[in-house]
Amino acid sequence: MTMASAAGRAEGTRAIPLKLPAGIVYDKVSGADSAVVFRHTTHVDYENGRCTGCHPKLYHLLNPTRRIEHAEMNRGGSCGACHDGTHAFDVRSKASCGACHVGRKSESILNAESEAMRSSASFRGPDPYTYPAGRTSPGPVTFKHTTHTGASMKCNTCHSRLFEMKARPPFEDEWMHGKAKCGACHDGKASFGVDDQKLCGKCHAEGRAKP
Amino acid sequence: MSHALLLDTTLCTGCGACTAACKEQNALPVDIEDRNTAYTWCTVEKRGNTFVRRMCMHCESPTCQSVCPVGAMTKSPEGPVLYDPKKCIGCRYCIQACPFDVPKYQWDRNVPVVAKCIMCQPRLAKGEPTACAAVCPTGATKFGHRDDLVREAKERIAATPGRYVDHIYGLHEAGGTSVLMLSAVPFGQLGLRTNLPDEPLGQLTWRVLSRVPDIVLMGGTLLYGVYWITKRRDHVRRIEGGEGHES
Repeated sequence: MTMASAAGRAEGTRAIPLKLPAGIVYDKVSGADSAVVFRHTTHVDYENGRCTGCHPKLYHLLNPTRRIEHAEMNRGGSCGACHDGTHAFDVRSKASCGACHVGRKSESILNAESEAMRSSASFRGPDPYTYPAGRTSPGPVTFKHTTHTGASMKCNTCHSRLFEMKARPPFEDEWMHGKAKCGACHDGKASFGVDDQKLCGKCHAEGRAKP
Repeated sequence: MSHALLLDTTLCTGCGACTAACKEQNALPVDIEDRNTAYTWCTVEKRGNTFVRRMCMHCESPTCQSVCPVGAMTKSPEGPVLYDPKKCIGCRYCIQACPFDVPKYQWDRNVPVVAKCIMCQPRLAKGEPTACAAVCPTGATKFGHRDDLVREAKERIAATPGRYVDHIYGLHEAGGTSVLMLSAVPFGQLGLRTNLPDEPLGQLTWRVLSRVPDIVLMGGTLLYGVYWITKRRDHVRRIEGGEGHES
C-alpha cells in the first residue's frame, strides 16, 4: 500500500469500529503472573487501522501461532519487527519487560486499561523532549505528550500519520507550516496558530519574539 | 446453490485483512502489492472516501471461460470461476477478455500461466466461508448463497435508502456475477465499468459465431447457383452457334 492510501484512513470521515479478536494470552512459558497479553486494540491504531502491517508477513491470520519466542523477537522477527527500540520500545531491553509481561488479567480489566491508555487518563508517554532554540527563535520548546493527548486526541491522531513512532526526530522549520507535522493541527483553526506573535510563550520558554 | 460474496463498500475501512488472509489461504508470497497481480489476488483500493475491493467477480457466465481456447477456465456450479494451471498455455486471451481486468499473468516466470482469485474453492469444499469473509472485521465482506445475498442487499438498500445508490452492482452486469457490491457513491466513481450489457459478453461473439455454419452453407449454395447459371448460359450460347455473334 502506498503512503497516500495508508494515510487515507486517518482522514476518512466514517468511523466504523473493527471487530477485533479478544486479548491473546501467552502464559505457557512465563507463567500466569508474568503472562503476556496481546491486545489488537492497542496495536491497530499505530498501523492506521490496517491489518497488513503484521499480517500475513509476521503472523498468520487464519491459523494463528500460539507460541512466539523471545529468541525470534530478539533477531528482529515476530514482535521484534517493530519493538526494536526505533519504532517502538525494545523487547531486548530489561527495562521494558513490564510493558508486555503484565500477568494474566480478566478481559474486562484489560479492556478498561486499554481504553484508559487510548483516552490518556493514565497515559504519560515518553519523557518530554526539549528542542533547543534556533537562531531566530524566542526560546527552546519542550514537547510533552501529556498536553497532546485527551478525549479527542489518541495515539493515532499523530502516529504514524504525522510522526513515525520513534526516538525524537530532529526539528525542521517546515514542521510548523503546511499540513505535514505540527502545522496539521496548529493552523489557527483546530488549535492555536503558530504565526500569532502574542502566543509565542505557549511553546517557547522565554515567550518573546526576538527583535 | 451458488455461493457468492456481498461487498458493502460503506462498511469497508480499508484494513486489508482480506488481502492478508487471501495471501495466507492461497500460499501466495507475503509481500502485498499495491494492485492485483498473479501473486496478490485481492487488494483494497481507495477511491475518494470509499474503499473498494478489487477481486475476481466470478461471473455467472464468464467471458474468460468463453474465450479460453484450451478450456482452462470453468465456472463451477458452487459459484467460483476456477482455472486449471496445467491446461493453461499462457495465451492471455482471458486477460484481454475480462471486463473486470481480473486475470493476471506471471510475468516473472519462464513458463508463466494466468492466476486469479478462486473464491477459496478448497474452503468452500469443506463448507467454510472464503478466507476474506471469515476475517473481515467490519462485515463489509459477507459470504452466503447468491439468492440470499441478493435479498439481503435489497433489504439493506430499502432499510436506509439515503445510504446507498439504488443499485446492486453484479446483479445483472455482464450477465450477473457471484460478487455483489453496494455503494454510497455511483459505481463509476469506484473504478467499475458501468457500460456493461446485462447479457453475458460471450453472447456477443456467440451470436456471430453461431451463424458461421449457416453462412458457409447458404453462401456455398448461392455461389454454386451463380456458377451453375453462368456455366449454363455459356453452354446454351455455344450450342446455338455463332449467328448471334455475326449479327
